[in-house]
Amino acid sequence: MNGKYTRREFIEKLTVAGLAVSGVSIAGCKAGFSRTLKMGVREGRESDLKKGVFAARGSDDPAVLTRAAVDSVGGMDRLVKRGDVVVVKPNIAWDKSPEQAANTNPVVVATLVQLALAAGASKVKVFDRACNSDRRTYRRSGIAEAAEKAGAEVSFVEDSRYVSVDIPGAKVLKEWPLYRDVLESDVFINVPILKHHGATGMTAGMKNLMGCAGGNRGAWHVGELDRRIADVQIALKPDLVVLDAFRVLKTHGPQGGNLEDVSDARIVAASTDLVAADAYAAKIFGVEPESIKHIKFASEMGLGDINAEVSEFAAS
Amino acid sequence: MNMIKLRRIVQVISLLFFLFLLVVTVYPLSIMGGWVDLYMRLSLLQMLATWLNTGGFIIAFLPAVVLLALTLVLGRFFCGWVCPMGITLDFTDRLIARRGADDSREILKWKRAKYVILLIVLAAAYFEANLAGWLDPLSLITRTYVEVVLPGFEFVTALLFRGLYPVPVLGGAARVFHSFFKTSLYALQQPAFHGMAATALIFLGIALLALFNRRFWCRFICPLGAVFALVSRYSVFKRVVDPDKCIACNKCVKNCRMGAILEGGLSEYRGECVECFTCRDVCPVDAVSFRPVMKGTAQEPVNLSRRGFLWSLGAGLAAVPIVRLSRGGSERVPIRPPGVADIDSFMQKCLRCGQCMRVCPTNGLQPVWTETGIEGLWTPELVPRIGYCEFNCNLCGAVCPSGAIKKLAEDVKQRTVIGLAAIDHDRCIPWTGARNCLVCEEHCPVPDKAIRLRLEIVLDAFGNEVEIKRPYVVQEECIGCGICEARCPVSGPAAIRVTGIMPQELKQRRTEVRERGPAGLLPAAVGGWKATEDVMKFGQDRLYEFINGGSEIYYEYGFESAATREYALGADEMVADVFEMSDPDAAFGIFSNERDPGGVDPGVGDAGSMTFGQLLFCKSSYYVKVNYYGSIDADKALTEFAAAISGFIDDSAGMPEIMSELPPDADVKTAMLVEGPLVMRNFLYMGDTDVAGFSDGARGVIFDSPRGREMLLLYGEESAALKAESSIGEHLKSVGYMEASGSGYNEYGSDAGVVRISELSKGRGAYKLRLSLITK
Repeated sequence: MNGKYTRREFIEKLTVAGLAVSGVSIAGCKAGFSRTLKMGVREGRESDLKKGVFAARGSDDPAVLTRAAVDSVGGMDRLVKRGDVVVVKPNIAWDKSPEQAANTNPVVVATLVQLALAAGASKVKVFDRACNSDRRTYRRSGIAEAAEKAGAEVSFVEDSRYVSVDIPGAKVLKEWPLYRDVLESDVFINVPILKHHGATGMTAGMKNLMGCAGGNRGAWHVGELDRRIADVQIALKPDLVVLDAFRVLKTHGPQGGNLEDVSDARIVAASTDLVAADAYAAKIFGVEPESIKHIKFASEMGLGDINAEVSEFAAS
Repeated sequence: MNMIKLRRIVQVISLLFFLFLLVVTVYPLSIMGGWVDLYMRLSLLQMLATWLNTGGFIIAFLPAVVLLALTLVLGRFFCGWVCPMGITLDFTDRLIARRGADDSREILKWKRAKYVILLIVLAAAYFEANLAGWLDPLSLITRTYVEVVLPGFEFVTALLFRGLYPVPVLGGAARVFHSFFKTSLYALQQPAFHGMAATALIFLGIALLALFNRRFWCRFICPLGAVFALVSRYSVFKRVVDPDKCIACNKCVKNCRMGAILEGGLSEYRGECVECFTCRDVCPVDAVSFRPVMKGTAQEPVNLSRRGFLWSLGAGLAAVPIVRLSRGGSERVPIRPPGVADIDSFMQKCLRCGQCMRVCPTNGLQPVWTETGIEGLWTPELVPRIGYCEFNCNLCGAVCPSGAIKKLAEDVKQRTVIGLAAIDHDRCIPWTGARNCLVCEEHCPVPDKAIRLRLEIVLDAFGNEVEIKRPYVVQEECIGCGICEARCPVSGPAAIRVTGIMPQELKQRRTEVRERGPAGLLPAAVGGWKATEDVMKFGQDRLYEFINGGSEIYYEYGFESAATREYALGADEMVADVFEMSDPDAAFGIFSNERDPGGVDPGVGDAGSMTFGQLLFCKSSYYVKVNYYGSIDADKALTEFAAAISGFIDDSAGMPEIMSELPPDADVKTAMLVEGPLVMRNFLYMGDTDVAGFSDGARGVIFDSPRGREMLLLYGEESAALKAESSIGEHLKSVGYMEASGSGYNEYGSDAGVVRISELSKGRGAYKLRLSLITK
């Protein structure tokens, strides 16, 4: 072989370089992995959005309903400042299609992404920790495609990005690994879908926060699931909750599957108060908010107003 | 042209392509689609083995046939240029084989061994024991890459990348590369396979054979190579040595990686050459060429003797019972991937290649070791604790080269039962303690939930009452996907576990599942008829609300429940009433009671009768009445509708036994089953008491005959018949009939007529009384 190096020399040099890099990396492994990062709870952002729950009805277009709801709570401009990193966290848990109402409506998610970018966000992140294969759920739910088209940075969750958080004031869940992107975000928008749930009776915004939790979530179910749901809110306070009740899964939740179990409620509601949003969700679902344990616990712990004022209106 | 350079390039391309196909064997299978298993389908050996095994040519192996044709033209090029095993071995040989060794130093007759192995495999295959998967090089190399190399590569590179993250500059590059690897090269999650150490050791063993000879596997063991060797003996292209040029330096002999060239360099053993062109390259006088000629310089091949041939066949036959019988007696039923028709055809067709395990998105498909006998070695099973079967996924069937796992349509796959879950009440948290859990119910993907919750009040450890939701499995819904077992938070073996089902079953479609009882026969649509409202149901004590006056007779026969529903088609209406009676005789009874003897037989159910606008039929324990209100041809509409309803009833009872007792001249259409005194009034009112003894088990039938109105009564014992006869006689006398006797009968006469009671001879263990009404 002509040129500066003979083939043998070339391979030798390559090997040495490779070993060097590997050595650095292994050293990095040893150093990095043994330390578990710790972070504090998420500090919510004070904004001058209105108090209460604002529910838009009367349209067949989820985008229209979403815009109307966000506008009436004050508008995205009052929440997002130029350059902000915004996290829009939908429910992307199950490998089901939008008509089956197991995940958040993709149009609702895409609309929020658009609104956030239009208000000046530098980046909008969309993700969730799925229960089924994440590749499948992101795809079949339609959320990955819709959000990407709207300009969001859609990503699968990574194990390495969970950090341990102490939760002050928690009754049961004293600490837990939570996703750092949510904790570090400038604006955190929680976008749940309203569904029936076998264990808790109903799932909406509070339960949706479970998607930010790492570790063995199965352990949450043992004994006091509703307590833990109430506790984790302390660490993950959302700045805005947009409740997707466009389609509601009435039974066989949280996965469903039968189209007959889905009811077209055609409502999208917005609120800064997670407890208030869930209380309204319970009313849409047809149950007393106090009968859903995690709503009751959160209210007792002073995390939100279970009797907040609700304004329902027709979206034009 | 430098053929060696060309060959190396082709080998690199072939191996890279092979690896590329493996890497894209991953959800969503959008690249290359059904072609990812191409290399497996090139295996002539597996083609022959599955052909012999199943008795049919598997069309997927057409590429192997193409390869066969190419080999007949070009010779044994596959081994030298394309086979991933060969290429990998060429590479490892370089690392392991001794430098400058004389390739011709080998034990020559060991070359026969590959033919022995081939014969054993084919003979066993003929008798339905599939050994090909153990020794086919494509299966072996695919397994090795799937179970060992790719997971190892993924693990090591991911570790290295992550370690670099905190390092400036390099960390950024690492993130980019890692991200690229994750989306393009890695599987959906870090794979890990049972028995990967064994697979690694086996391959290592094969590679280490290079310490003895290069291409040891190809020379002495490979049964696929044996097939190619046999075929290439007759190929068009042959190796030709110019005897005038050759100087017998033996360079070619020493460097032939297959040890195929005889001492002197002039000829080689037929079939052993893999056309690597090394001999042509090292020959100092350019004496070697590969050309299409009639006769090359090849010598006789290294053949088996006839004894050897027969012994090989014998060994193959001997292997069959050892392999087949090893299956039995294990209580472990592994969960097989969805699409496995039955275990026999699966064992025959499975190539043991590991493609399905590669593509399984949850890493749930794992190789079986010896749990199902050695026959099952390296076949796939689902291990839910490692990975569950995704509800909407059918990828394993899509990539299986031979169709051992059939590709199922998504909706069929969602109803394919591969196993059944069962809860271990000694481990399940809600069952052992007073605490809720419910993870299994939440994750069950079946829309109607195969795990349901029952609310119970239990005492906790301190004696307090607690409300607990306890799960239970609905076996008719469960498809055995294993997500419940995968997610169960109990540590160690899960508290809910799935056991495999073989053969796999198909759950009924949701719309096909009918409610039990009469309402289940009245769906929302029957043919083109659409129900105008919900079905109305009447329980056992509510018949009066439905049919008012006539209900006593229904109760006398034996009534369970009823349902009714109205249907419409255009302007026409159909009303269907369905009665579930206590048994088929009761259904026939009420039918025979209500039908018009002048009606026509519509040919529906066990017995039917149709008159203008109404069709009655009975089938099994059901009695169905259909009334038609409309303008089109009543008979046709009624018959079609009734036939559809009849189709929903699975069982058929035929005629009640007593009908066969009727005399030949009885008018069958007038026959009416009698089971109590109410119905008996159709013969003659004999008071309200049960004079005939129906409550003791008597059965009767009333009918017309040329002699007039008759009734046949059947009793199990003579004493009961005699008792009834005398009690009927007593009753008649008490209302004014005069008794008279004849030979073989008693008569009771009055102005109204004569009742003659004859005793008939016993038939089939029954005592018969025949009552005739003779009018004056």
